[in-house]
Amino acid sequence: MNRNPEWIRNIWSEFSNTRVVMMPAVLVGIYFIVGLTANTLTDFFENAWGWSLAIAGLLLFFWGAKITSEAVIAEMNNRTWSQQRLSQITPLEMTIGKLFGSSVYPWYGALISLSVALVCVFFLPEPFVKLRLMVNLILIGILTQSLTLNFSLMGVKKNRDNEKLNSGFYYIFTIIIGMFFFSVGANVMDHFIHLYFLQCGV
Amino acid sequence: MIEISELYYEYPGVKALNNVSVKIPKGTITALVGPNGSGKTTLLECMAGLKRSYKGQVLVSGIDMQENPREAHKLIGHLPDVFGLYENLTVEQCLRYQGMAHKLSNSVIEQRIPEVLVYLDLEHKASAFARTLSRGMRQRLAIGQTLMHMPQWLILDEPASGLDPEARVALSDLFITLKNKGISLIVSSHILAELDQYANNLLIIRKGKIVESKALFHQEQNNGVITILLSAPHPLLPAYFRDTFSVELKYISETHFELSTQDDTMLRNQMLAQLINKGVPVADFYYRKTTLVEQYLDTL
Repeated sequence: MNRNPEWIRNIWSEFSNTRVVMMPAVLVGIYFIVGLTANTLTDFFENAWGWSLAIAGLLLFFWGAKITSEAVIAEMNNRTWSQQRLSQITPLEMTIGKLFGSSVYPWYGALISLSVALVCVFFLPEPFVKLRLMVNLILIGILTQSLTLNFSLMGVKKNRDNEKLNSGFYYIFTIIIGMFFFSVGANVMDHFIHLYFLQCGV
Repeated sequence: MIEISELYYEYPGVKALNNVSVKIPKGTITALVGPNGSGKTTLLECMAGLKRSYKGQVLVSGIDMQENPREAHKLIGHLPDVFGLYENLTVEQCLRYQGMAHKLSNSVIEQRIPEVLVYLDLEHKASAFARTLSRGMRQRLAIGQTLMHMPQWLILDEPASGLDPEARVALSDLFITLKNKGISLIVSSHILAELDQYANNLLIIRKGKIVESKALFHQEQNNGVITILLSAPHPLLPAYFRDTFSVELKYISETHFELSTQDDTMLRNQMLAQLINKGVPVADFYYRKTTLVEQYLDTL
């Protein structure tokens, strides 16, 4: 990843000093309010666990998916796509760089939330069920973002007249599919993850 | 050399390139000129491998652009007429990104960035964000990005559009510097007077066909025009030139004639001396190089 130009460029673009501080600051604020509403420590862990998952879900499915749907379309609309096409970046590097690089900031927030959730898990009943749900969330987040990127690429390919593209359609389309995955597909994925945990003797 | 043979490209219902065949020699600054919609941008994009022609071949220093674009792209830099920059990156980051995107090693990138900044006269802006740059600086940064991998060929589509006169002069100087560094340039522009300052090769395209491809006359091989202005009409002047110097004068008005000739100071001295001896009322007698505009209009 450290030699992937697209990934590095996205890191430079997305992480200004203000933004690096802003995300944890907002999250600390949310957890502070969660703390104020809790009567006991267990209450706090339960609430914080729920909020963490909700925040990570929002960041990955809505914000992250929106940004990945714009990853290539924005390059075309901003007229930077041709220089990327003339570069020596391989298709695999470009895909990884765009998929994880473009949504790196929502992932930053999601990983902070999931870290809080991970701490909470060990103070709550059924920790492994909760862990499975977290793994599900991450995998379906990646899947949804991959789909938005893929759909937007299909739109780019169809756009032979080089007109300005709007990523909104691909975004909304993928959100619907993402929700479907999360409700139906999650069960399938959960089944495989469950099997994996069983095999590991957990 | 860039060698284009039998290139065809079509937009729905429009033949943008129609059997284009041309050879562009290395070490030149080639001006690609033609009216709007003549196929300039399409031709440049085919040369850069951004458009795939349905027939024909583009060879960049012997590498087939359609068969092996990745290798060919190592040899070229391309700046489209409408380009974008990564606004949230600094000038230095933009250049570093291009270096990484062209798989240059860290040590080469470290060495190349200050070099390119000096070419572009942007050393003082290295840590400025791209979004804060003026139009001229953005243009120079965009060119700088294409220079990071030191291509053999630089393809520029309307690079001077929207620039103020000062920035245009700076851009012309930059092109001459790049040519002296061994980079061959292909520049399309509507501003022929500007191309005249640095181009030494001319390609004229009309309706998707190359109608002229020739070396331009500059200092080393200078063709021009002598203008003769008289203070009073002299009807015998054309006949006198025909008999004495075996040349035809071009009639502009009764007191204004022109003569196409090579840059020969001795010949001009002789002509002027004889005109005065013959009592021709010469008010003005001067020589100027043939402009690109005149050469372009001649082909039309």
